[in-house]
Amino acid sequence: MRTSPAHGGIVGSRWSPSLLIDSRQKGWFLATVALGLLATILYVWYDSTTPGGFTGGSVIGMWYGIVGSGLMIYAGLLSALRKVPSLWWLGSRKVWLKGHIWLGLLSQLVILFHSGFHWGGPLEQVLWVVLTLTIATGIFGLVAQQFVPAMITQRITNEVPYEQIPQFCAQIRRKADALVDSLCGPFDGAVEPTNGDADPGSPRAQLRRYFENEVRPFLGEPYPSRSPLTTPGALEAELATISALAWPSDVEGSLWSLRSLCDERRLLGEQERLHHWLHGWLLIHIPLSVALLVLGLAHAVLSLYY
Amino acid sequence: MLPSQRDLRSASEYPKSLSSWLELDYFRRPRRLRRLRRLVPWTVLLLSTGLIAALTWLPGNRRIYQADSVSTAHAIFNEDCEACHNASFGTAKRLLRGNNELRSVTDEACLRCHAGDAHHVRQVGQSACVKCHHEHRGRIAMARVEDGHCIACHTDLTRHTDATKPGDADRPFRDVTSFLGGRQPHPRFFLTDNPQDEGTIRFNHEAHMNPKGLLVAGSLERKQLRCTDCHQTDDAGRYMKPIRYQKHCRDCHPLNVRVFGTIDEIEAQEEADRFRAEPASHPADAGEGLDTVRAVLRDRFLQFAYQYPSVHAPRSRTEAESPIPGRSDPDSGSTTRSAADWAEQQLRENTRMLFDGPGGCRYCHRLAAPSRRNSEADPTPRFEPPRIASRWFPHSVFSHERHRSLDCRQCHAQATESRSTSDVLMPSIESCQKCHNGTPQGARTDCVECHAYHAPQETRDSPRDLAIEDFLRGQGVHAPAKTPRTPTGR
Repeated sequence: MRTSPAHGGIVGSRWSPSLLIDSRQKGWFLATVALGLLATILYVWYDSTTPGGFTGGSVIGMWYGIVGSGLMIYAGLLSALRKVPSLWWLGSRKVWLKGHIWLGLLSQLVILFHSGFHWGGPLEQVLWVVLTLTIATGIFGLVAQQFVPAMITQRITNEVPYEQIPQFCAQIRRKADALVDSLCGPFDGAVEPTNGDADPGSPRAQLRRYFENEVRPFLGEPYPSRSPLTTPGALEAELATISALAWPSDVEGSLWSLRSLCDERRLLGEQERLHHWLHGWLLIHIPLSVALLVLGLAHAVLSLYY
Repeated sequence: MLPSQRDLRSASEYPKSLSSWLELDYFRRPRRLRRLRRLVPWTVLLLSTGLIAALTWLPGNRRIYQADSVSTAHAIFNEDCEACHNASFGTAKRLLRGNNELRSVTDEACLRCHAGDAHHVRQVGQSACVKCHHEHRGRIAMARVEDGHCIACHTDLTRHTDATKPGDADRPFRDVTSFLGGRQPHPRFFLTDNPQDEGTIRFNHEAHMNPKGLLVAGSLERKQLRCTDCHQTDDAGRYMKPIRYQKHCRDCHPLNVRVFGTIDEIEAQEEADRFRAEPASHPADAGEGLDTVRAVLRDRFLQFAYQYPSVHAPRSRTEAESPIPGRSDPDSGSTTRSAADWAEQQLRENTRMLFDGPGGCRYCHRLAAPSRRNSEADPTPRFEPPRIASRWFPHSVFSHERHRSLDCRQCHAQATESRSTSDVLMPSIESCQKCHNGTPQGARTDCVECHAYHAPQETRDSPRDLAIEDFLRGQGVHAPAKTPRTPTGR
């Protein structure tokens, strides 16, 4: 794949993502639609033939609640299955993921019928909000999982393990330090020359100043998303100016290397950003699911008691 | 792999060594995103569990578990679930046994405060109170149940009626599925097809509603009557109070009485004029009759006689020689009469005028059949009881107050043309359906808009001796068993 450091490693906008939701989901999709239709028909029939209409407290209404809760628990068990690999015999992770997606969606419909299209009291209203947000964040995650991995593949030419990004940033910065030290001499901790003989306008001083003030912070961690160097081209323009100064020797190669290191840092930052889109929704989805199960349990126990 | 990690000098694509560019123990130091992903769910788990526990065990938070607030009448029980939910895990039992009749609120809880008798003596089976009366639906009237509860039986009454039991079997109930249209719409009113008025009072609505007005007794003025001059609603604004002679008829149809004979004393003459100005009394209720009228009148004559003895003192020769034509003089041959004798004579003359005269009782009342008349010894006539219906539609409820904006004739259209007592002036169902028409602009058409499931309130025996503390806790008297209502209840 051709890379273009000037454009952050992104080549054009044409890419063909490998879709998570594709024709392989057809069976699950059809099964979900069939079950949804069955639940709808049963609901409509019972609602039209029962005096007072369908209520969640009726026997069939409670069964809707049980089925809906079961679907939610099944969806929640995906997380447990990931943590307990010995449960592989319950089904492959792919199957569980498909069930998580489709049966989780179906649970919303079943719970909607269980409620008889009533919001209920404060607890039930909170449950509704939590359930809806859980489903919404799940759908968001599904969309993210559908497109973001392909975007990472295409935009990030040199993908690294997410957890290793700080380590790589430190290494990049050490390499950059070594490069600049080779051009400007050892760094004594002062950005401006402290030696009276040194010229603050000399190429070395200018490079050191620019590196310490702009480049080095950019190479660090966390990623400075507001740095001007995040814009492709800004660094190149500045380095071209420095390169044009009256250097005693050829510095083009070293400055090219410095620019490459900055490109790498920019790519790592982009990878971090996309990674957060890809997995950040779980920070909301999982806690909401936990709250949903706790509140749903409370709702079930109290409803069965009273 | 990043290009900067490659060994440029070896011109190899591979790194110098894995450990030189990877932290092999990086998993021991998870980044913030992973740390949050581990921390937040546990925090939410603990917080939500703690919150639920606190709301459950701390008092005053029961409302969060309610699907909606209880009805207005039960608002005092909002925080006391056990006041009504007296069967723990009733819902769980309903689920396990698959029986919708099992409830956590039993009839006993309702009957502590409410006397809810059965709907009909011939109905098959009895349903639980909460089957129709659903709580926790906000500040609504629980009595306003959905049509489905009624239609469940009334769509096929044969199947839900025990024909072996006595009751109003002669009443032609028909299956109904809705008030308007549908497969089995509400039938025409029974009275429309069977107009029967058992009333015996002779009354002409047309004459009384004469737009030119009616002559007022004792004056030359004419008064134009309105419906509300005679028909007034009860305190609840629902039904019309009975027509009372004293209040509605006497002004125009006084039962005139007078002192017969010649009175010489001027003061007695003035008192006789006042006597004439006050009509005879009229039986006020069913317990009173003509005897009452006579007794009251006798008292008045006696008082008159005691007050003015001259009226029964020795009569002048002229008077003695000129008795009242056609009347036997009980004191003939005697020149003196006691006050009682005088009063009795006056009473006879006046009752003859009242009971047999054209402006007396017969003007409105119908004579009883000969078999019911008195013997020759007691010539006092007997009249049929009025039998004015107090409720024409006993199977429905109605509020005249709610319909006060309407001209009475909009519903009782025949009233201005009716001349006969036998005319039934009740509206037809078509009249009701002009407003209760099932459109968004129309009035309601649900069953309970006109019909009540239970017996009228006045026939129920609700507990009325509760202490305030017991009432607030919903702990009334021991719940009586539901009893089928007798057909005479409505």
